[in-house]
This record gives sequence, structure tokens and C-alpha cells, in this order.
Amino acid sequence: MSVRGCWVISVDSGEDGRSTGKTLFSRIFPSVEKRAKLCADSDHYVPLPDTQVFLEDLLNELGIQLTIKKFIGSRDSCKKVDQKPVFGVHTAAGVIWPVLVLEQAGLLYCCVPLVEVVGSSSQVSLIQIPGIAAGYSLLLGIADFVGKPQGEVLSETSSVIADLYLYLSCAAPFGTPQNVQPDIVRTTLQAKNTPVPKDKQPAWRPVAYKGKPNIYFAITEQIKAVQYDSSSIKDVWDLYGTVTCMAELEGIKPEVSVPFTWTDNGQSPTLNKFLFHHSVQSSTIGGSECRLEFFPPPEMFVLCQYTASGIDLPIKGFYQMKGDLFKADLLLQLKLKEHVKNTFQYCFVQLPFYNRGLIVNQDCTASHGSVSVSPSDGRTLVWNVGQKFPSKTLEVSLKAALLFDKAGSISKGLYDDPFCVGQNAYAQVYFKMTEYTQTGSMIEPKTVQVSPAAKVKVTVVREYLASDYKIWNSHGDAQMTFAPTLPS
Amino acid sequence: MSSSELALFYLPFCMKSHLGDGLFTKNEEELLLSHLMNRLNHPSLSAGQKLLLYDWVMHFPDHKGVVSQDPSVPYLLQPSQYHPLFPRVFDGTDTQLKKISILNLCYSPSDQPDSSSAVLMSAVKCLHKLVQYGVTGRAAVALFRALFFFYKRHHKSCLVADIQKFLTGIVTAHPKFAPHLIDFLACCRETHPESSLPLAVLSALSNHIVSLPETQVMENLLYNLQVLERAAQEPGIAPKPIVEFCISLLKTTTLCVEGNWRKGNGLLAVCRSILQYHNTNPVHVEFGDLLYLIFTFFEEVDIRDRARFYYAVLTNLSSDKTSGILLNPVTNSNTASQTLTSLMTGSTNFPTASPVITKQEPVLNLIRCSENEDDSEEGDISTIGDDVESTDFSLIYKKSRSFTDTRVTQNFQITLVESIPELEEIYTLVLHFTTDSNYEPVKEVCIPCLSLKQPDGTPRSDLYKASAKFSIHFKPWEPVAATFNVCAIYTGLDGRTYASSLGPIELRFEDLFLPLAHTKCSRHALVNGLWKIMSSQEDCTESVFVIETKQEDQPLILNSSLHWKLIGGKNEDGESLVGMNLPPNTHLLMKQKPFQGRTVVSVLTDNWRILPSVYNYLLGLAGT
Repeated sequence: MSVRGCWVISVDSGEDGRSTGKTLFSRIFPSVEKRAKLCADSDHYVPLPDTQVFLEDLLNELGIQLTIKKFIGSRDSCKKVDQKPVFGVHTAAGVIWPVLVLEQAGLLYCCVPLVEVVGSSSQVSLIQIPGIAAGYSLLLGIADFVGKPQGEVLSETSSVIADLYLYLSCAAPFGTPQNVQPDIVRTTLQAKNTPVPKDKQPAWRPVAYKGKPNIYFAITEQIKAVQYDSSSIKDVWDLYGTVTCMAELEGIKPEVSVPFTWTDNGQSPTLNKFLFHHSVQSSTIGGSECRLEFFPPPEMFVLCQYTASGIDLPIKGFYQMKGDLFKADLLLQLKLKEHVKNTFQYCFVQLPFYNRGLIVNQDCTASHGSVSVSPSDGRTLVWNVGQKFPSKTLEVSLKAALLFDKAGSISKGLYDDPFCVGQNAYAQVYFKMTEYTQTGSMIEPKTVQVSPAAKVKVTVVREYLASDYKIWNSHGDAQMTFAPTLPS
Repeated sequence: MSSSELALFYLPFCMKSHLGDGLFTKNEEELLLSHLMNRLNHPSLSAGQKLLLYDWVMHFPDHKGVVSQDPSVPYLLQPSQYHPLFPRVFDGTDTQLKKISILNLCYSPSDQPDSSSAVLMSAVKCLHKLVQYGVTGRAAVALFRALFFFYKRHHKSCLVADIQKFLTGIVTAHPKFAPHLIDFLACCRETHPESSLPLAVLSALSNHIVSLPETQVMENLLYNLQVLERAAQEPGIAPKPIVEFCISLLKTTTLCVEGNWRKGNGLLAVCRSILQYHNTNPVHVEFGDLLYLIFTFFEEVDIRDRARFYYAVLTNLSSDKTSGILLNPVTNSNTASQTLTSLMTGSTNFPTASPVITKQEPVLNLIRCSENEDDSEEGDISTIGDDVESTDFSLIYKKSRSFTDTRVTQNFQITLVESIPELEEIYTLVLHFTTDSNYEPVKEVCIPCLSLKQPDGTPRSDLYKASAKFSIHFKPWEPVAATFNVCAIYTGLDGRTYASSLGPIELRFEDLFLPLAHTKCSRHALVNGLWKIMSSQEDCTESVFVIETKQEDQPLILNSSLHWKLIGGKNEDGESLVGMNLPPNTHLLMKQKPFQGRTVVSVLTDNWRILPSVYNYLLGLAGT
């Protein structure tokens, strides 16, 4: 379960879909390299090249230096075996496989897990290599540690990159991933100089909390949906949720017991496909409740994730747009489902018009809220519905006639969705409600039990938001998939 | 098993494949599989993690814990559980492709259209739709790969007909997918050499292309030619329609006049394929006509040469011999051309053409010549003709401000210096200048011949000189100093092409100084008049520099170094005036007067960006 080396590469995408890369961080573990040499016999051992050479070979393999718009045989050929996110990097000495690559926020995180099979590693399936799963977790940990650079451009000298050496020495000593959670690693590193406590702390709780006991729970439900307004194609949506927890409890190994409930009104909105944090000791799911018992780590963590079925769309939309390159007439109607909370933190709709000129004239009538053209790109109509739908009808509508710039018929420098040509268009709804979840999922603060028993302040917050909520134009074509009915 | 941590979820799989038989009961294995299937579409998991999980599905250990090297459907997976494997609208192209490759294992269409074939073809619907709208990039790559997966596994089923229809439809609608198609067909041939799919697809496409109206063909000519080139490689496709199509293309379109090398190359590639893969006897006349048309009318010398060569091959060699010659891979062109020459001329071996040779030694010397001295003009700068009142300076300013076609001309001399035997005489010397971003590209300079020796018995003529003079016109978009790198390409006595880089040409700020527009009034009046107009303009900037001069006897530093045409005489208060234009349309007026051993220079310009250059220039003057 070791990795031979780790790399962090920054990728700048330039014009035409060509990208350039720069290595920000690299670390090779000589002891693992020695094991790799022993495992693979001399004919099959491929040494890891220098950082710069590895970078070039990797980018060649990914093919991101070349334009994405053209067919490049070495990257796009049908016979190329695709094992994403695992790649085989061709070097002068041979192929290095498996190279795990994780892309996040313009950075490539890579590692080469050790394959402990004698002979050629290419004869092994990914599922037989324990280092793959461990390496992937390590990459997630590194990515989490680096975080999303806000505004600043990362370089080799950035402090977070310099700290990665320290992080790896603790999270993966000698190339073997241990506890990769950045928060725990940070705490461990900071706690090095404090005296060893009398009672031994567990590894995932290196320092005991001192202070008032508090537990926070945040239940976030999200929905992504695609609506077609068509009798032949069914709308598709996914409702899923996350319970995040932060437990500030004293003691070596406090235990928490929580009943997590949701509404069961007979029409059975059921939560399923639960995924739990590894601190969860037992989970009992029955009816409309899931009881969780866990030993919370000191940092904030995702306690559980779930999906929901048997739930209707919270907002039903109908989008009708007719037009051409230069003008468009549209009607967009939204209807809030009954019993869904009618108080939004925000609710607005974006109607982007791709592959056209900028909007030069708009004649809009909205039954509710305000309409404007997005100042950032000049070709997206933004309808701010506001905080509430009319409580009687629960319906709002927008009628608009738009004229587009004829001179510069295609605006430059902006992203154009190549599918959205002619009348292929969509409206994207963004909303957020607080203190509400559509499944009624809830943690009642009074029912939270802590052992050893203590008076704990429990705070629960809930929110419900749209992550990707599209309504396709009924008069155009739409992206869709087909799923057959299967034998039961 | 419900852990969100990938490494923990992996544990049972690891145990199963290592410990094998008897570790899990069948029910436990089913539970493990259902947990795996549940995760495949879990919105909370990242796409990368799910891609790994699809791989695990394809290599799920069997009941003995053995992992098969070839992807297969998990032995416990029932058709009723296939649901998570169908592409969803939320899936990215990579995810869709992974799902399709698993579905490909799940279904086996027969040789009659059945539900399996329908399911498989509908799985690519989402990708197909994108490609139908001409979306290039990952979606197109994924679609062609998916179709190739289908073909590889089900090449004897009814799916082949569907694939053929798909491919033909895609490339007919969007010729830009021709490279994808050609790759697809090459992969098909590799895996199933006996396959009839390439012939069927190419035959349909070539029939389609040759029947298209010219305007439509020309829109995507290169792609269409690529398809025809590939079609011409199929002995089963008759070359005659292709040849006739090419002839009509040359006759009815502007292809010949345009003389585009890439398009000509595309056309020749079609010809080459016909020469190589077909018996040319049945199309001898038409094919000859086509090559004749190219080498006579195509306005590109390389294309003409090669067409002439193919023509020679066509008319002099048998088809068998021709294909034997052309079989050599194109990449190895040197040896190929050697074989060609030896085959065609018996024992004679022509030297093979070699690429451009870079000469490090200084073969040529480029120097700047002084300004033309012959353009003298009558007039004395000290006389002041005062007719300001009668002249409309506002109009003069406006006119010269709107003038954009100003350029700076510099004279140069290039001399052949090094006496290298093969370079005693050089021909077709082309000087290429790299372009500064602030300047319009400088035109190449061509010099027919430079020679160090004088041919015996011939009178000395201009043609045989060791040096040549020429002038270059620089057209700046912004009046800034610039450096131009010069590269010379020329042919030596041995017929080879050489390249060497010459020292860069430096264009200084003061090289850009041009006299003010010529008017009837005196320069003094002009400078004063313009000063008045410009100082009231909003976009003009006035600045004052105080310069310490080393030459105390010469406080008016500008006068000594500037061309007399730029100097506008003295005002009554002792101010000496200077006025100039900087290309394209910047005005620079200066008034200088001595003050306590220093020079005070007032500067007025309508382009504030040049002020640093002016300051540096003045400092430079003071230093000399």
C-alpha cells in the first residue's frame, strides 16, 4: 500500500484548448523505489525519471499540450486503452504504470502506487493493486491540504507547497499512506512539542479537546435536475444530501449517538445509498430513521452521505424559446411544488444564449421579480425571482423578446457551449433555502446522546440548494440519455 | 462496506482476491456487489473515484477470488441490476465511455436486429447527439471509441450495419470527423483484417463526396480529400469517379489559382494512393489529365514538381513497379527518393535533397548605411517668415494627425564576406525579419545573386557583386525603439540551401524622427502654431526636462544632433524650437533654452507614452 512518488503540477490552459504544465512539487520515496525494483524483475523495472522529464512525458500522455479541437492520433486513437484516472506514462526506459492522476482546480495531483507483483505490472488489474485505493485517498488528502487557491497563483515557493513535504512525512511516512486527513496531520504536527498525555490518545484524535462541549451538525441537501417538458422523455433528477459534523467534546474517546430522521408521509420519500464516515461504529436504518453511533474525530468531517428517492421536483419549469441568430422570443414558467417551503435565501434563473452576439435589446415582462442582462458576459438573461413565489398560485413567468448584436455575430473570448446552437437552449435555476430539506431530514438536538454523559450544546443547521438545475427549451433539441426497462 | 473512504471500501475486495474461496458466502458477495453498484451513480462521489469503481466492476473477482485479466461482467450480476450502467445525462464523457464499455460486455446482439443491439446503440445516443451537432473534442473521441468497442466484440452481429450507418452519417454531415473515421477504420483493419466495414463506409462516403456540388466540397476540402485518399487505398473502390471529381474540381474552382500548398498536398495524396493501390491502366488517360492539370496550372511550385514526377511515373512505369516504389513509408523520404532515382535511371544516382543547412560562420555582413545625403533643400533655418495669421494650423494638425501611413526608411548594405568554396557565389538570397509587435511585419528582401569571384571573360556587371544595397521601410504602430532579428536563406554553389542568422537590426528612438508635414509657412511658424493648437488639445501632454550638459559651451543640445529639417529656429526670448513627427501620427514639439548652465527642454506631445523615450534620448544627448 505504498506510493513510489508524488507530484503536484499546475496546468494553465491557453488558447485553443492547449495547456502548459509546471511541476510545483515532487517527492520520490527511495525506499519504495527499492521495493519496486525488487518486486519487478530487472527486465520489467522502469525507473522514475527526473521531475522535468516526468512532467513532459505525463503531459504527452494526457495530450493536454495539444489542441483539443483536432484529432491527435497518439491521444485520440480508438485503440488507445483508456483506464482513467490511471495512466501509463511512456518514458525513455519504458512505460510507468499505474500513474494515478487527480485533477482539481487547475492542478494535477499524481502518484505512482507500488505494484507488489513479481513480473510485469501490466499483467495486473487495477483491483489487485491495493496502492491504487490508498494512493487515491492520498491524492485527495494532498488536494485537500493544498486547497483551492483563492486568487493567488501557486508556485514552487508558495508556503502551502513548501508545507507539503512536512505533510507527506506525516501522512505518508516512507511513502506509505497512514492518516491522510489534513486536519489531523496539522494537529499532529503542531502537537509534537506538547507533553505526552497520561492516557494514550488514538491516532485519529491526537490532541484532546478542552473547553465547553459543543456539537454542530449541518445537513445540506442538493438537487440536480434536467427537465425537458416532453411526453417522450422523462425528466431526470438526483436529490442527495450530506451531514457534516464537528464535535468539540472532552475526553479520550467520546462516543455520540444520533437519530437521523426524515419525513415519512406515506408517499415514502426514502433515503438510501448511505455512505458513512469511518468513525461510524454502527448504523441502524429502519423506516424513516437512521441511528448512528460514532467516535467523532476532532476536526470537521462528513458524517454521512445519502441519496433520496420518491421525491418530486421542487420547481417545475417550462421553457419555450423560438428564435434565430439575431432574435429570440421566450416564455419561461416556473411552478413551485406545494408543501415545499416558499422562502428562499435566493432564487434566480440564468438563460444563457451561446453562439450569438451580445444582447443589444431586451423587452422583458416578468410576473414577479426583476430581469437584467448579466454584466459579466452581456449575453445571459438573469431573472431574479426573489425570496418568495406568489403564495396563491405558486407560479411565476417571464416573457421576453431579445435582439442580438448582428455585427460581431459571435462574441469572442467567451465560453460557447457548442451544443447550444439554434433553438437548443436551456435555463438554469439557482436557489437556496435555509432551515429546510425537501426530504424532511433532521437531527433533533434533544435526542443527541454523548457518552461519557455530559451536557452538550447541539446546533443543527439545514439547507437545500440546487447544484445543477436545467430546463431545456421545448422547441429545441436537448442532451438526453436513454435507459431501457430491465427485466425484474 | 458503507464507508465513504475508498481505501476502506476496497478492503473486502482486497481480502477476496487475496484469500480466495470460502471467505465470503454468496450472500455476502452479492451484498458487496450491490454496494459497488450503488456507488456507480452516487452524486456525492467524485467522477475520478467512480471511474475506478467501473474498473472494479469489470474485474470483479469470481467466486474463487480470481481476477480475470480481460474485462468481464461480474458473475453475480443479474440483468435486472444493469440499471446503474446506463449513461446518464449527468455523466461526463469519460464516465459514459466506461459505462458503455461495461454494457458492451453485458449484451450480445445476434445477427438479426434485436433488443441487445438496440440497447447498445441507444447507449451512445447522448454522445452521438453531441457529435451530430459537430461538437469536437472528447465527446467525438469517446463516441468513436465506443463504436470501436462494439465493433471489436460484435463484428459478426447486426451491430456492424448500425455502426456503418452511424459512421457514414457522422462524416457526411461533418467532414471534420474524417481523421476520427480514418483512425477507426485503421483500428478495425488491425483487429479484423478480413473486415468489410472499411470498404462499405469508404465506398459510401466517396460516392457521396464526388456527387457533392463544388461549393460544398470546397468548404471542407482538406477533410474530403483525406476521405478520398483513404478511399483510393481500397482496391475495391473504382478510382475513376475520384479522378474525374478531382479534374472537375481543378477546372471549376479557384483551387489552381489559389495555389494553397496544403490543399495541393491533399490532392497529390489522393493521386499517390491511386498510383500505389490501383492498376492505373483503365484510368490512364483521365489520371494523366489530372496530373497534367496540376503540374501546368497549380500555382505552387512544389505541388507542380511532385505532380510532374507522378506524371513521369505514370507514363513511364508499370503499375506493379509504381506500387513497389511507393510502398516505402513516406517518413523515410530520403531513402525513398534514392530508390526512386536508382530505379528510374538505372545506374545513375542523383544526390538526394537534404534539408536546410545552418551556417554558424559569418558568411554575410549586414551594415546600416548613412542617410541619403542628396536630398538637400533650399532654405535657412535662422530666417523667420512670420505669416502665422494666414495659415490654419488647426487644419494642418488635424490632417497630419489623421495620417497613418507614415514609415521610416533605412538603408542597408549586405556583403558576402567569407570565402567558403561552396559559398563563393550565392543565389536567391532571402532576408527574413522577425516582427516586433509594435511594428507592421517587415517585407522580405530578395537579392538574386552575390558573388566574390568574377566569371572569366565576362564584363563586370551588376549581377556579380559581393555586396548589395537595399532599403527597408519600417511602419511602427507605436513610436518605440525596436530590434529586428534577421535570418538569411540562400542557395550555395553546390545547390544546397543554407540559412544563417545575421546580427539584429536596432531601430533607435531617434531613427523615428521625421520632419513635420511640409507646409507653405516656415518651420518656425509651423512649430509655434502647432504648439498653440496642441497645448489646447485634451489628449496632449506637456512636460519639462532639465538636462545637465557636459558641454557647457553648447547649451542647446538638440541643435547639434538633429537633422536641420527638424529644427524650427529661435523665438525672440532665446527659445530654440524643434518639431517632428513620429510614425504613425505622433507629434513631438520641443522648446529648449539654456538656464544656469543647464538646458531646460519643454516637451509637448499628443502621445504621452513616448515621454520616457524622449527623456532617455535627451539624457543620452547630454552624456555625449
